[in-house]
Amino acid sequence: MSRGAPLRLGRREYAPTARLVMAIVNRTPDSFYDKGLTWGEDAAMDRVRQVVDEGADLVDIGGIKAAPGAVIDADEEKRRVVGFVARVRDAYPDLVISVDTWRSEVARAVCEVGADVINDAWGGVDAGLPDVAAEFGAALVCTHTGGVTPRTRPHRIEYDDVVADARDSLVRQAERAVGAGVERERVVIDPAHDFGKNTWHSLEVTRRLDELTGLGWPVLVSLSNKDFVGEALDRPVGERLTGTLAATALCAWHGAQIYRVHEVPQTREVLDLVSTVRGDLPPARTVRGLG
Amino acid sequence: MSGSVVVVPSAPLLLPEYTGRQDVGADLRDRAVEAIRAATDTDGSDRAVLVVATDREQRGTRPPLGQRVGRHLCELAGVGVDGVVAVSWDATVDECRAVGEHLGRRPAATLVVVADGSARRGEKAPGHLDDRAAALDDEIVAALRTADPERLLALDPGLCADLLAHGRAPLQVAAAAMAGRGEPRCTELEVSDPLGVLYVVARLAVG
Repeated sequence: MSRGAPLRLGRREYAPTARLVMAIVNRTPDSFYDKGLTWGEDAAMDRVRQVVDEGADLVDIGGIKAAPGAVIDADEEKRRVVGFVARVRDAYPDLVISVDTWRSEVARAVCEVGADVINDAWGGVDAGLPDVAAEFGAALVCTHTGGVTPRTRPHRIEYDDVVADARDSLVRQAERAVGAGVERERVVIDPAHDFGKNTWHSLEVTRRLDELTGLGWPVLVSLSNKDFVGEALDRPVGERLTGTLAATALCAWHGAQIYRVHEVPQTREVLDLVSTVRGDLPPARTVRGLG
Repeated sequence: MSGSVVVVPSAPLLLPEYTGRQDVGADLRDRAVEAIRAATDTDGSDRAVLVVATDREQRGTRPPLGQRVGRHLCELAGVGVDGVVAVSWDATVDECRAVGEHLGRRPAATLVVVADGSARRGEKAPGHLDDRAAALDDEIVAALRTADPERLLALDPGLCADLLAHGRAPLQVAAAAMAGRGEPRCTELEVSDPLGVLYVVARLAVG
């Protein structure tokens, strides 16, 4: 059975068996799930406070929704996230802060104000990103998108073997990051469910995730309320939590280490249950038959 | 060439391997199969030639999606496939014309053209909304309705590529094959876009 890999984020080190909750904090007016709920900076700050209280291990701050829509240039993206990252860093000196961006210009700006992780959701389209992560000692999340253009939907994409394609792309990106000077324990790989993938692809990646967790790099999965969950169960956005948590449990069993989510406490509970079954975490309280 | 031309969609969801518990493409598939059957009946044949585009996002080694969809639809219609003309999705008009004219010089055959309009017809469309999509699709539909080969051959490859109108090249091949061969006329034409992509089921009788 494959296991995780050593992982370092910010000043923290995690065991290969750790299962971390990364809470999504959108500084967007139009993301598919929260639809602008945390667009205002104070609302976003409230969200950070809430997810920290709920046990999130890190936050992932993003200024651009993944789906197509209004063009957001680097200046506007920086306006949305840089000041906010600084504010979160100030309020939570020890919190691991990730920023969801594919632009090295934005990555540099957020690292300068204290971001610990660059979550490149679009598969390395900006070749300068690893250099920025290396320069600031930040972690880098590498993703598989099949090479699609940022903010485009997959349309009639096929792979001979989607997991093999993801594996090759992710290993190549991860090794390039290390080559650029990013610490090996700070390179994370993410198969990127639904990015450059139809539902059949995302289901296959979930089913065969052990082929990625066995590669020796920590694996992040971003499953939360996504279309592949919705299509598997025929549920619209807003009714996908149960399915998300089931997929979360499967990925946890396969050894994924970071879970990018909207719902923190529910995810925490599922991950803890899997960790106890795997023997990675002792049960919380055991008296049954033991009195 | 005096055989009919049938236009059918190339949506992967028409294939068994992409169909879930709910068969989302059932009606569309039925209409396409019926059109192929009607065309071959008219032509007094049970054979057809497929005209398809290569995949725009080619990553694997499988035959083009359009070819697989066309073959599947023909199979369901009980129609044998005598040949496949796979034209590059971004072929120039001259290239399409040359392939089509070559095809037109061969003995009559029913052509099954696997071709869609724009995939940018709405905010939820695969390519998101592009305001130009409706006009382009209207032009494609009008060209088919009037069975006008020159109008199909006048479609701009660059605009069609921008608007993810994947059927442009196969339509132009078929148009060149039809041109100069009697008076083509449209005998059936249905359009739909339930997923933000223009699907066309059409029959053109030639000669």
